[in-house]
Amino acid sequence: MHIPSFRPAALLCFAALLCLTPPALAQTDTPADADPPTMEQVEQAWRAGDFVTVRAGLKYLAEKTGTPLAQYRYGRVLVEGRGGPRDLGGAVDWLTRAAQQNHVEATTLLARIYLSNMGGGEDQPAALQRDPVRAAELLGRAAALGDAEGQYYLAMLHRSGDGVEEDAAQALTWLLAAARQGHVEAQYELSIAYAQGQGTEPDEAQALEWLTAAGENGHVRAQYYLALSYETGQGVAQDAAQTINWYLRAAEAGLPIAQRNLGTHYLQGEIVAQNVAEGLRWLEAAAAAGDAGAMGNLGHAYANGMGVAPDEAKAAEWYYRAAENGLGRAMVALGLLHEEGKGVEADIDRAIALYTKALETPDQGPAAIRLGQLAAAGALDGKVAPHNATPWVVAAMQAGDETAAPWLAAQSAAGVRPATAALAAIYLETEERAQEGARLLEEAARDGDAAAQARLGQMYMTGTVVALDYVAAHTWFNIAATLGQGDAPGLRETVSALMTPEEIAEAQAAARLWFEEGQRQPPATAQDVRVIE
Amino acid sequence: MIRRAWCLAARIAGLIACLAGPLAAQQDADPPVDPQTLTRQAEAGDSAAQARLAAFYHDGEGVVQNYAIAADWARRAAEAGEPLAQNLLGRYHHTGLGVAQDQAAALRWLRAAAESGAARYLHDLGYALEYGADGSSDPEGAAQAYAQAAEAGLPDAMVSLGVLYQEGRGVEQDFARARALYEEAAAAGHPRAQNNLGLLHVRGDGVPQDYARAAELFARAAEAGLPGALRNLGVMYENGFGVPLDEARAAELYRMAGGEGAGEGAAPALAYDPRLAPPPGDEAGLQAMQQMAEAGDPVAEFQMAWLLATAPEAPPVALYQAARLFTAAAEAGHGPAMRNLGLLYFEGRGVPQDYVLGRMWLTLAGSAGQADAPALIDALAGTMTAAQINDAQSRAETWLQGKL
Repeated sequence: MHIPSFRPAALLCFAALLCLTPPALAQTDTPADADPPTMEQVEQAWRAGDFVTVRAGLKYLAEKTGTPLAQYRYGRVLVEGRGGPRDLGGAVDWLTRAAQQNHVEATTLLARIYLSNMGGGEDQPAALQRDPVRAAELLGRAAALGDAEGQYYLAMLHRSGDGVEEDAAQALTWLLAAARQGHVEAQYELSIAYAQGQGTEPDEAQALEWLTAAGENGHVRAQYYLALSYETGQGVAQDAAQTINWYLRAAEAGLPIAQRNLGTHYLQGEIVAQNVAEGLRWLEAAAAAGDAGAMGNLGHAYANGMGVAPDEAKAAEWYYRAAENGLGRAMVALGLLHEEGKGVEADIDRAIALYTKALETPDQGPAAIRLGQLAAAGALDGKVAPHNATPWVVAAMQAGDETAAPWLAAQSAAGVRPATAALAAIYLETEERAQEGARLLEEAARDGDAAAQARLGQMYMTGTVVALDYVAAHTWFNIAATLGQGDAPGLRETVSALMTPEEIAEAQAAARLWFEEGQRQPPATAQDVRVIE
Repeated sequence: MIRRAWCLAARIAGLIACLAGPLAAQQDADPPVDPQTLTRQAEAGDSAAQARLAAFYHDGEGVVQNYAIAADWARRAAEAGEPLAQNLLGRYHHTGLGVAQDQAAALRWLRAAAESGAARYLHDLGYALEYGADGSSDPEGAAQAYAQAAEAGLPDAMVSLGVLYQEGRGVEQDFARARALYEEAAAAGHPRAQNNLGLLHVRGDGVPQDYARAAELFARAAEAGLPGALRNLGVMYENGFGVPLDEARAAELYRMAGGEGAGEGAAPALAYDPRLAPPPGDEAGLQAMQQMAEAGDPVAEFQMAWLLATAPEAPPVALYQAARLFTAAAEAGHGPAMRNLGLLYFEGRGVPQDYVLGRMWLTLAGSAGQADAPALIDALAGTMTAAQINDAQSRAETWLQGKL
């Protein structure tokens, strides 16, 4: 199960501006159709969805009465493009007038326009270019007047240093002010600030308190992280009931990862009574939303009979879908099914292709181990060049595969240079076979492995495993430097300072001989082209 | 508390560095002559011409510098009794340049040259006696030779003899004699003499202790860049002896003595061929250049190598390619390519660090008209062994023979 870390949500985007809650308009019952429109008539039209009347009425009121409320509402209708085309220039005009009369909502909305890129279009006047400094100044006024929205956005500016000095402590202060007024997004951000210690010492109790507040106020990610916290016991005592409760709320709100985790818990039946129908329902919902982890978990459930009857065909199908969506561990699982012909046709090439693809995902570890096991068993012979398979076999060996070492030894004996270098590195880790490792490293170095040369040089320079020998160290550093080994020139200089001119002369002659004998050339391009795509 | 050892400037720089000086004094009297004429005369058995030709090859004047060839001509002239040639051959045997190192042969020829009575030859004999090529030392014999040379007015010999008196090697220790010898040479502006005289004043050896006078003497020697004098002056400043205490100045002097930033510029840089137009900057020009380079055109090879090697943060592969292209152009006789390739070999960039091949290419670059090649050799080849120098010159000669 994935456990994501806290991440600040994307902020201040244009989309957020369009999600404004409708203005809170008072309920009145004034008759319609008087000549000069009143605010009551406008509000009635709003409730009726008659935005043309709203727009015309607000225009009249804003122009004639000059009240900040009318100016604000008219500006907002212009921003949202209700009852007519969107008119940002006009909106900024009217909101500015309202802001000048200390109308806080107008001030904050105006600031958000300056923060957004909505004024940046080609057809917009230059005055509507993004202007975070202006926005910060307006938000400062709104925040001081107690506007929670203004306080929240001001905090975000202080956190990112946009338009104001970057100042985590200021950000925390304003988040706290907005959160205390019940601003949900502020409560969520505040919990992150306390959890990560932004502008304050880390404080798990405060983090949990504000995360709970945001969760209870319907913040979906807060609900998800609450569930995760109760599940893992991070910053709070583990609590199965709370875990399920919060997952359920976030799942109901449509968060796929919450749906996945909830469904998995229902199938596992460990921290909640097993309920296969619920489990499948939630996992399938997440899968339908494109959640690859849910697809993989469904595959896992069918493969292992977790709450459901084992069904290799269904397992393979779900693994396939997860793999198609980039889930590395599903590629490995599907590859295993292909190897054994369970639920899918037996196809070793398909399996190898899947493992190779998984190497490019975060689940590369198990993929490399399996490829290494196959290589060591000879299953990759003729399919993958041994020098490409070597790092996989090393991974398999580290995972305890006993056929790996003999394979490496055989390849090394057959002249596969990376195998020799890998075997040398493994032996050098041990005490009893270190001498053999040094011998193999020397072999790889002679064969032109620049990394092996640099390592061997360091062993000679320090007298590790081999006898201290500055001439040999200089020789190998000098060769490795020419072959492009990054640290070799500096090491060559280091050892030179310890040597007599006669020793340096001897070492340089040895390096010259090495190049003359082999007519060796460094690789002009990166080699190691994969055989299997 | 003085923590650092005082530096007595006893030895003449290094064995090989003592050979660096050209053998010009003798030649000034002779009429100018070209190497070809000289070679004809030498081959005809003219021992004076043989000696001069040896000097030409020693200095690399009009010919490619080659100590082995110089030694061959010097041997013929030495056997005919030419003191200059005897001295040169003796020094070659002492250092192992151009010939096998051989203390007995060195002394034989240096003695023969010294019999001419020339102060410099007497001094060189003394030096070879004091610091034998085989690790032997004959300070008594050295003292005699130095004394004769000092008598003839050679400041170097005065200082070398002074050191023997100061340390009581080969002679009875005698600070007054040492002081008198140093003072005479110091008056002639000899930095080692000034430094050593300063040391006598610090220690109060044969003179009343006088820090102010010592510091003054160290300062004069330090001005000439003598590392020991820089260090000694540093000790004076670090402890406030005869000068105001100044630890920053002391640190600076120690640093200069260590050879860092002591008036030396940055490491020598790769150079473009000033005869050529700048390398092309446009795509078509670059392609044409690449095609010509691949077809073996030395100028295009040089230009492409230049672009590759001087690109900011050139990756190792680019440097390797650059070195390969410089090599191709150098093999075709392109002087600036030889020069740059020599630098790459000394620095170990794109090629294995190899002073022999570095010096070989710089030597050849000099013969191909690269005026700064001798200075580059002086700056870079300071830590080469005699065997490496011989090898480099022999390779340069072989390369030239292959081109004939």
